[in-house]
Amino acid sequence: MSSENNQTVVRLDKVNRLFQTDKVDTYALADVNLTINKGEYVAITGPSGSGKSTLMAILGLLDVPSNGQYWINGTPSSALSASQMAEVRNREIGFIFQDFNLIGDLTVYENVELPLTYRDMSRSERKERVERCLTQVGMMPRAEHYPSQLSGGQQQRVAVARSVVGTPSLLLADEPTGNLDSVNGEAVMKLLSNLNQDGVTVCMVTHDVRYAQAAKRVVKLFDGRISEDNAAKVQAS
Amino acid sequence: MSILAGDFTYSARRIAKRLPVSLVIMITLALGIGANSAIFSIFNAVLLQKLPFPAHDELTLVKQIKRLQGDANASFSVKEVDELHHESHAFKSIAEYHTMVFTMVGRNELTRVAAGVVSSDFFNDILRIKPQLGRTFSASDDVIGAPAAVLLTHEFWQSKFGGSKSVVGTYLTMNDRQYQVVGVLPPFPQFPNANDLYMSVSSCPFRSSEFVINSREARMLSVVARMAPDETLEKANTDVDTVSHRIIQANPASYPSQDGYTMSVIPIAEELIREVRPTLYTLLGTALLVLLIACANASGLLLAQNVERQREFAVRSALGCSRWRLARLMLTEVVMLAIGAALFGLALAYIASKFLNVHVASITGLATQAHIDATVLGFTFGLAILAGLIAGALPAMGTRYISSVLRENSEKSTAASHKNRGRKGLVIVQLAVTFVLLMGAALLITTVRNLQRVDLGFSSKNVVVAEMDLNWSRYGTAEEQRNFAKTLESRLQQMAGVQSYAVAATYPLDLAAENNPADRADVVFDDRSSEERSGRINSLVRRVSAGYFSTLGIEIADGRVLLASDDENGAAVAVVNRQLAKQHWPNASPIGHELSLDGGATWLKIVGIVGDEKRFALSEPPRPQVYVPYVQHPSWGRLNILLKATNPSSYEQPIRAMVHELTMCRRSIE
Repeated sequence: MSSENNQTVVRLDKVNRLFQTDKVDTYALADVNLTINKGEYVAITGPSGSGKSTLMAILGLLDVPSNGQYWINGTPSSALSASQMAEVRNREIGFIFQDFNLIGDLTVYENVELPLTYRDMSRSERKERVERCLTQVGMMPRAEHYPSQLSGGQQQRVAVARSVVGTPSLLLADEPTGNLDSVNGEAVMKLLSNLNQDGVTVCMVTHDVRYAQAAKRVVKLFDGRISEDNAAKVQAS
Repeated sequence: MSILAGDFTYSARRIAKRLPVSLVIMITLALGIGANSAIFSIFNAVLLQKLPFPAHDELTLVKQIKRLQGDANASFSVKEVDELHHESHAFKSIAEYHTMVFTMVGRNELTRVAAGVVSSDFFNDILRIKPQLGRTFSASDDVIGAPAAVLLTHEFWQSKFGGSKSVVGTYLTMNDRQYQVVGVLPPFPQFPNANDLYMSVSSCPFRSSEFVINSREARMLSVVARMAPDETLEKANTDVDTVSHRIIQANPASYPSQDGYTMSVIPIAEELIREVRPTLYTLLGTALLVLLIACANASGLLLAQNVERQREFAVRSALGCSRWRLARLMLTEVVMLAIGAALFGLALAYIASKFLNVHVASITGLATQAHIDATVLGFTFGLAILAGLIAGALPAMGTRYISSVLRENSEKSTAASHKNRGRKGLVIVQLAVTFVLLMGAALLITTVRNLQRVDLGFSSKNVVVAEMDLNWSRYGTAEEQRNFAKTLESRLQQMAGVQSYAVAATYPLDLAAENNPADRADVVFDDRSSEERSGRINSLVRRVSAGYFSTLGIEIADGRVLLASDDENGAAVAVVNRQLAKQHWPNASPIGHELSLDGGATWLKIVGIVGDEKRFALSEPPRPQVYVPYVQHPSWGRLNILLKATNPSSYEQPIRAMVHELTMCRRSIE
């Protein structure tokens, strides 16, 4: 946090992401500048191929920029080793995926506990946190079930619980309602809103205009560039 | 710790959920691990463990060597052992050893019994073995005229007497004599040979005969000795060298200079492992290569499994799992599979080692000590974990690309190409190791083919051989031996359907003849001066009946073979092989010349030349051989029946019945 405003969770400075193939070079992201502050709820939208997923991968430290710099909580990602990135992902970032990505051989409880097992944390503390999060998403009664025994909406609620169990400073949600019906979609969106109200910074990729409007700030991407960002409007309001 | 337990629980769950694939991986590894464990159990017992005798470093074999004849096992006579006993200073104890075959009379059967004849120090001062039951031999058992006493080996006691404790004090009837069982030995690595029982020197009719006791040339004993605690092998060798020189100088007639008699001392441990060491190293090396192939196969299966786990690994990575933790998770599963494989492998090893033991025990008695002990268990599980790490290394290394699963499609292809490289590497390793094994197999097949093409000089087609050992108590004289051979021949003649038959003291590739001095002789020839006779040749002497050549299809090169009329009343005759003829009469025929097998005391007329038949090994070059009529040169010991018929196996029972009727014992029909 040293040189950064300690309210800034994400800062991208002229970030490019180039994919090189034998025949053609493709810029998935081009000169992207983006700052997300603590407590913001940001929706990233744009057509397919606009670079939303690439942006999420870079924000989630699953990918690195070809050029430019990315700071997370004031730390430049370029200064992080692979194991340090894993640690930052574990402690600072929560992920929610479109297709839930629960691990089929683990129970609901174990899936939610998983991020905590990568930390030096006592069993009792893990238990307390997991039970709290499962209760929060209404899945405690299904703690010993396996993902295959749950509906899509239930699985996504478990995934939400898993994403916040480690109390991350940034929650990245990639099309979290993409595989859900409207009722379950609404429920998940409500969970995200509640989390944001509790102080969690949320950055969500979505195609759905309704859900995008639920976010306070909307960033639109087109051809790898930010075409619209209503940050100023949000700040003003 | 609970995290590690969680990894184990998760891995166990995965293994159980994918049981068929898990079993295939386990069995693949188990084959390699089992083969290695079986061989290692013997490797450990023979090459790594100390001899199971107190102060084993002091145990030695003293050998008499005919250096200039290339004979490293010339054996000792009773006189020589006595002199060694009295004149050497390097040894705390010296014991003699030789083997005999006896016929034990049971209630309904005759049993051929291998007996080690030993002096009392053998078990007491040298091997320091405490009996399992009863007592071992005492000095009084060595005195000629002492009551006949035997000690049973543990194995013989179990197999023949059902482990009955009341066997001590009972009597066994062997070769028409009664022997009291004075004790039972515990299991121990027997050497130089494995025996059924042990007999005191005074109990052996042959060893206690006047001829053997008084003849310096009656060499049939091995000498086992325990060095004094402050002695070294070097000093012991110097000591026996001095004794040897003194004996040779005092008895020059018994030690021809052209033989180059000398003595040497070697550690028993070295003697026990000398022959088997290269075999065990080769076997272990081959088994390790097999394990490497098994690891590559298992690794391939794991890689295939990992394709379906890419998303799981990607999610774990996204949630903060480091590469090391991911690799550890995978290796935990592989090591668990490998430990399961080790349990399978141990079961395989237990079965395989039984077969291997029989083979290796024929080379060294130490193999009987092989069993699945803590060391073998440690080796097996260590190897299993190593195999698991090898098999899991490549799939675990692949995890570094897995987070790309959550990224763009274009990057997935990058991960895939890395994986393909890993698979290609695996295939290359498998091909390389398989190539080495195939080369070994090809060489083996080529060797077998070459051996099949070797001209044996005889034909074993439709020939059955029955081995028996004459009861020398009953057939002790030449007359008795001759009459028995004639009786056998007349009975064989009466068997319907027999094309030809023979009785013979030895037969081709009969290893028993290799170490029997009675089947060898230094040959001298009538047309050589006495000076030239000093260059005599050592030849195998086959004492056979007339039918030997036709039964085995041996080529008649010149003259005639032995005839039924060449009996004790006929002229003394001999047939030589082509090699002997070529060696001594390169430009003339030996037929009509005479040769002597006893240094010129008696002469045999050469009546024919036959082709070169292999003696003891397919690979050996032709060597001189002399054939003499058995009835002109009968002897105690081994006698064999050779029978040729259209269906030779149908004669097994008739021969068995005939031999039984003639109150002899035969052990095997090949």
